[in-house]
Amino acid sequence: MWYYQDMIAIDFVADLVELERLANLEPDKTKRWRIIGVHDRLASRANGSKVSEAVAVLGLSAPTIRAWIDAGVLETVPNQKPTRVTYRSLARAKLALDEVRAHGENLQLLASVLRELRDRATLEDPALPDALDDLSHGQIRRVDLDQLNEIIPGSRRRRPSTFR
Amino acid sequence: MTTVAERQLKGLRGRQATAARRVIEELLAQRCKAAGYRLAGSPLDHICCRHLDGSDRMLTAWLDSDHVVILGVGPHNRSATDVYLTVLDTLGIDMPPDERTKPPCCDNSTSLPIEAQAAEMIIDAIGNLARQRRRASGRT
Repeated sequence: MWYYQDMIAIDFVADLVELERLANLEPDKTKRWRIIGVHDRLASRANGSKVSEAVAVLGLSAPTIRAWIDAGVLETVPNQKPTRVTYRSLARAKLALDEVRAHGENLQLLASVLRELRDRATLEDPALPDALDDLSHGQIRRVDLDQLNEIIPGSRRRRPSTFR
Repeated sequence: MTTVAERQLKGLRGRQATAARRVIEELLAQRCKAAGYRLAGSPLDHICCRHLDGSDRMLTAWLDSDHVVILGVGPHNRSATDVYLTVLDTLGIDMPPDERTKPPCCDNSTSLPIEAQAAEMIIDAIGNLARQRRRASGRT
């Protein structure tokens, strides 16, 4: 059963999700930032939702909401007792849940998303841009087996022990 | 190998160093068969990723079938995939085995992701959630 406060939280998060969707679809960069600005101002004005309201917004159980808070997936409003969840993080979680729920039967699609996410995380290596720069400027060293002891000194192979 | 990769490899010790050396020896002997899996969405045509010790990964760029450049070695950041798996777990969705989503490095096909637009929307939504989590964990 939903209460009046739950309905306010559901409507408020739905508005934030709609603004985020509009921002994602907006091709004009300036307009996109203006929509994001409205979204952020709205989200920061409200003082977050109670856990029971977050349950109604996301359609998950209270223990799951608390587990997501502990895992950092949902943000809490600082210095608030009882715990309140920020509307910004609720809106982001709602958007992500809705997208996955809409395609929950399509395991092939979900698997390709998993691959893309994993690969993007790998490509976010902070050293990669410098490495690609090395590659484009030809700053490359040719390596053969004999040079590995010099390049990776920590892997130097021990000589086999001999018996006297 | 790149200057960056050489610097990173010189900094490795113990099991990490042994694993990196073993993989380089395998690359020299087996070429792309030893390079792990091919990355989607890479800035070059053909970048592959091979797991080393623990969370370490080696990235290689393949200029042609017998010409490889080691781009770098470093720990893997799992934030976005962790959030995604948390969402799937919460919704009770069982993913197919992980290996089925990893095309081998030697695979030269350029197949586009199925339902690219839907995939992009899920990736953006999960990416935002993962960034939020990184910021939250950075504050504590």
